[in-house]
Amino acid sequence: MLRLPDLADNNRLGRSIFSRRLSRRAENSNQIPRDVFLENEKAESISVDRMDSAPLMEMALLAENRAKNRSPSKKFYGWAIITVVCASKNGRTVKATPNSDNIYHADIFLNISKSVVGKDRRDKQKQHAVQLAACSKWQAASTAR
Amino acid sequence: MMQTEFNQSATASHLSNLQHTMIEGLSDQIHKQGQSVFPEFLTNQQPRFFLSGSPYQVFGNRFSQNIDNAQNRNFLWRIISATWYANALKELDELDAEVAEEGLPEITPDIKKEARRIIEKLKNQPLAPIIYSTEEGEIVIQFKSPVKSSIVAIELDNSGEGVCFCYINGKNRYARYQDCSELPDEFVKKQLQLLNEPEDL
Repeated sequence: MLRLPDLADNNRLGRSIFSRRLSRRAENSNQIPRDVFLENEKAESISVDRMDSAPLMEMALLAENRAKNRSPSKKFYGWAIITVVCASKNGRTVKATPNSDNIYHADIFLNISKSVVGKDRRDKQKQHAVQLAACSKWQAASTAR
Repeated sequence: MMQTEFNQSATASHLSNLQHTMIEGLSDQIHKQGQSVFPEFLTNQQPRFFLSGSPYQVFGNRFSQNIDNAQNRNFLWRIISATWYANALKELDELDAEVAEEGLPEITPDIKKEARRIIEKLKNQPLAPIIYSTEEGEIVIQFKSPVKSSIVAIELDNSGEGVCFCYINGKNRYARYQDCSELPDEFVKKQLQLLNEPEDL
């Protein structure tokens, strides 16, 4: 597997958006909906792609394939873009987590204590999602074509 | 004349049309006054600035200082607030269709009513929210600062609870309400006010 350089603070991370509902808000306003950065309750991290490691077209194709392979299949609309330095604030850490399908994959780990459970845990995840949304910007899939 | 009409007719669709006319009418004046005060990139796209939910707040704040009397200043703010208010009600009305399209949990009429009430209560502040449904059956009313990376998100769930998540100037604030009819309280209003203030350097 091709080895990418280590993550740098100014590298950009892209959170793919597969929801028309959320992408429409991002497109029409100046803000990313919080739920773009919300995974299911059990998730420890937020899945993102390293946007500076390949041409935008390649990143869009990867995201489109991922959207098609979802069950039910989805459409890819664009990304919420955030820098590594912003994603790493408030106790979060960013790690490159390449896999055989996507060498550009990375995770934003929320690092919420295991002792925080139930509604409190979900609220912590939502608080992180609010912070990440506040620091990110919309980039439409169409800009890759 | 236009102001009288504005006062008498308050339906969302009417306001929307009326705002557009007013903004077009004000555009020349704003542009002239704006030349000396604002960077070119702001004044060039002024009409879109009001309508898009982008940082019109900054523009409005500065422009309103140049308007010669309080009545006209209030009038300007009413146009700005009414612009987002009409859009927000429309967005709220469209939630059910989106929920069905994406197979999300249904939103109860009660919670929509609460969301409408909160929007109504906040309509005199100038920040335009986005309103969306979530995969957990909630409604979120989210406001972003036009001047910094800060957000206030009010979440209402189908059980009648509410939460206000804030990320302002790099700090978290959070309030949970067992009964969302308490929203928006002074805490929420204060956080929204903070969104408009420039970040301390």
